[in-house]
Amino acid sequence: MSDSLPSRAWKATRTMGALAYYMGVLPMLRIPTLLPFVFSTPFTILFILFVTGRGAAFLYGIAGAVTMVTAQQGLFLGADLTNYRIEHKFQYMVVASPVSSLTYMFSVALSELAFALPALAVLLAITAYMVPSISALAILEIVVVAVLTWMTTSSIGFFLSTYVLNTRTAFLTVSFISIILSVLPPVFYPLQLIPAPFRWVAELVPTTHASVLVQTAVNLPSAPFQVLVSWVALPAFTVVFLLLALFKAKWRES
Amino acid sequence: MPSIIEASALVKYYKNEKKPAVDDLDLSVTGGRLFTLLGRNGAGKTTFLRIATTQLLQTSGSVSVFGLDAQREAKLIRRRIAVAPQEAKPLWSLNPFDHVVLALMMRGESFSASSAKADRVLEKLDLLEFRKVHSEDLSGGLRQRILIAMTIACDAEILFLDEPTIGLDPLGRRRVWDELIRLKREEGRTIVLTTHYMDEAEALSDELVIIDKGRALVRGTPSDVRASHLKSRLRVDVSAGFSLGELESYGKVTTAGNLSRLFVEERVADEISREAVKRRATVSISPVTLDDVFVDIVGSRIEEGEEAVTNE
Repeated sequence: MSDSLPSRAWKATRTMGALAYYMGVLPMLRIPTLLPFVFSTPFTILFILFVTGRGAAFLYGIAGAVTMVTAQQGLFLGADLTNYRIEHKFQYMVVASPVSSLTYMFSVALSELAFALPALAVLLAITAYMVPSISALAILEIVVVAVLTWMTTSSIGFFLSTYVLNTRTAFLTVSFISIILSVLPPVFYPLQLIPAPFRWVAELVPTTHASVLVQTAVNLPSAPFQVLVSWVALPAFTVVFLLLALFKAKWRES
Repeated sequence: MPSIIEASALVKYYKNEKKPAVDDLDLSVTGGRLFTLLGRNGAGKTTFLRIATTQLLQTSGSVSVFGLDAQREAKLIRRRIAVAPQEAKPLWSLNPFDHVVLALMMRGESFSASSAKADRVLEKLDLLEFRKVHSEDLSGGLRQRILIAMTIACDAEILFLDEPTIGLDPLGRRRVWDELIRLKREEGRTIVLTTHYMDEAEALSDELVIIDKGRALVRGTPSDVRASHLKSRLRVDVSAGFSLGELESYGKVTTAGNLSRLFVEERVADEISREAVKRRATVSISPVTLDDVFVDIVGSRIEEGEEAVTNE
């Protein structure tokens, strides 16, 4: 007898929870010493901005770190999934099971997010300390942006993982894309610093919009029109990359 | 019993490969039985398994599982099968108990049901004492048993096991064998196995197929396969006391390590043994094994292939 829709939804949620717990939360709890390694880069940049810039530069650093932490964790998904597929052959077990590619992607993405949560909590605490006037709505805004960024980069990571042929290439590719997405574009600095004729290039990068929105939430100046553009662009990027992951990722090999 | 898996004219070419990994393969697997694919490395066993388990798309031909097309109706098949891939590794920082619970919860079972089942399966595979030990701290054989536990714990109707006993010690292998036989007899599961171990194929299989270069060469029960090749012959192993020329006068001689080996009729075996007694030479005479049949069938194809290459 086939299950009803609520029953199937509950089972899918439980599956997702189990995969996220066993692949992310549990390893993190058992080996918490991994956390500093995971977040060394965004916190190092934040530290440099704190020492050299202070004031507004530090707030740009906070916005950049929030964006980088979430983007990086989404991209790490690509490297980890490649590892699970090629080294552990775990993905072969998953493909030949009732778990769908989307469920698997979100489950492992959630497991990656588990590693990001402590860093995000620290960043939000610093933000609340540095910007005492920050509203609950602004904090909610930061959370929403972080979730959209994580979904976008997780989709990119998942898509890549199904095409990469070995784990070494996967880790190198992810490191390279991480720089393209979270260091070069205006993630840790204002968009206005890029000469106007070239700004459109930065607009093509989803993390630019994520950072613009977080910068606005922490009371850094942004053009109202740019904020509007970013609120449209970031969810649009999320949808596009989700569709790419859903329809163009290679779940079955050919 | 009806066929539960059917492959018809199955062909698979991998990208940039000129030779097919599976070449016009036809085979069927009967439900409720243990079916073994035997073959050398690269014979096409794993490729077939990956197509049948909906992980890999074929180039042409078809595979149906439960009467469902593996290419078009994969989702329906996946609910009813479980796979232990070849050379898989457990996940880091998880213990055997975690692995089995994860495998069951992936299939929608609750934590409490999964936990109870996990302990039962771990006990059957002698893993209970290691249930809380991280997989990276376990030996290769124990890690391999975790993967088997993850697969057999599932309520799947067909279990696909790709070289499941590689790296297991003899007792561990027997434990796995016992459990596979129990699953088949008591729970009516269908088990599809690939292996290089002839004794394993002989001990477990209800039916087997020998695959080479992507083609099925022989199929049947182990005794049928033995009977259909090297018919009514005996294996004679000679360690010393006979020159090669003398042995060749009895039949074709092959080498097996330090031994010279012949497959001969009972009358000739008797003649060789009497001659050996006279010479105080050591010979051993035994029935033909599946290993002999495999070497005979696949080995002669290798020789034919080499001759063809030489003649070109």
